[in-house]
Amino acid sequence: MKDKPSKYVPDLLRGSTDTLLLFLIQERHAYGYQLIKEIERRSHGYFRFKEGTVYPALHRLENEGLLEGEWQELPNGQVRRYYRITEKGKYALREKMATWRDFTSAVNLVFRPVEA
Amino acid sequence: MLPEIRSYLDEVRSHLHLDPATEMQIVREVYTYFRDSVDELQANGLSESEATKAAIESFGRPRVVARRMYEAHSKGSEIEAVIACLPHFIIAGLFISQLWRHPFWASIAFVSIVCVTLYGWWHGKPSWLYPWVGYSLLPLLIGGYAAAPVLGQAASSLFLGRGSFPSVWALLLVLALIGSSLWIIVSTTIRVVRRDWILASLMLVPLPVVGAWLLDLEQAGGVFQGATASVHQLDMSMALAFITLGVASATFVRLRQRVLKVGALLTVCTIAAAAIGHSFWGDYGFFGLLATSLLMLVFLLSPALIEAKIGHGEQSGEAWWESSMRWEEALAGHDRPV
Repeated sequence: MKDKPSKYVPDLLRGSTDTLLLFLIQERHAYGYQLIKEIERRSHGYFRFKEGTVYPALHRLENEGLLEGEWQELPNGQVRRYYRITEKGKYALREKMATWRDFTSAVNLVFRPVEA
Repeated sequence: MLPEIRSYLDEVRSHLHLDPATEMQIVREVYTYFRDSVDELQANGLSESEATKAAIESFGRPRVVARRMYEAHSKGSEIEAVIACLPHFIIAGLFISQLWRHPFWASIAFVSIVCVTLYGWWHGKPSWLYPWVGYSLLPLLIGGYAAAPVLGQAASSLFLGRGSFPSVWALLLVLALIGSSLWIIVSTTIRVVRRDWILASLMLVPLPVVGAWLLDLEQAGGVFQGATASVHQLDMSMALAFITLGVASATFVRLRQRVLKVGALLTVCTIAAAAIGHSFWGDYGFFGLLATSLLMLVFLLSPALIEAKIGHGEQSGEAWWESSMRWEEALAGHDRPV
């Protein structure tokens, strides 16, 4: 994995933030900071979300009914807002992932060298 | 809480322009981010002040964060847009059917509007509420208009020596009515401005329209002098004006970006004011149109000046912070918008 993402990454990320967040939250309930760290860890540091973009995205997804947020108290007394995916969110995620697969396949087809 | 974090969160909150419950939820959540982030950075060897600075930088500029949060919450559903334009259409219906002349039907319409307003006011003040609040204030304006002749009679008798002085009781009653009406209109406006000045503009926009209509009727003999031909001619213009305001309100609710909301409201209402002026006063020239449009624009922008003066939020800074850090309320779901 590249150490330093190219300048084009933010543009690509902007269109796929919702999908990445929905996918991770589908796997397990999570809170904002945890999601930022998890995306960074899984992409080996390639995706570095600006924190100030993730929380508004979570709120927008919640308002659209794709996520549900709930405050939970941890055993150590700290409180965090955890998100879980809704049925509508699962359906939207399936749609987004299918679109993403079709899109990347199409891009790869275009990138394939022309056979003589 | 560290002062740098509190100052950052204060600035985010001052630009949110959302309902108090949502604002509290956002600030609480961002605060938990800072707590986690600063803890982790300190564990990695940074001092508390370095960790705080890094966490704040990493989150982004407070105005940008507030704008993104606003856009995440500001777009109302299609149903909310329909509810927002309903009071305009109810009043337009009164004018199309000319039922505004029948006290029974006019009262039914206003009582229904006040009931919906009170419901919305006590259930989280959703974005569709503000046009309803504006129409709920109209009876106060009309009441003040109806009571004004008694004041005029008293002034004329006192300063010019013309006519008889009204009874003291009538004068006191009128003063109490006008005073309490003004108090309700001003205090409601201030409360709405504390949330967002543009919502106050949306709320107040029917008042100048109805005010101009009352003045025009006064020239035609007064509202309570019975219907005349010129009064009939105004009804369709008024109905069209209210339908236009209804469309502007629905558009306002559906838009996500604040700048577009402000632009849509100012543009549509200013044009509507010029059209109403034209239908009231005929061809009153370019400068007349310009003056009417500018007056409406100044009226719509005046809540922004009030906001600059009184600030944002219903609670003072310290009281707000005390309640926002009561986590048991968050855990009980009390910071969830209704």
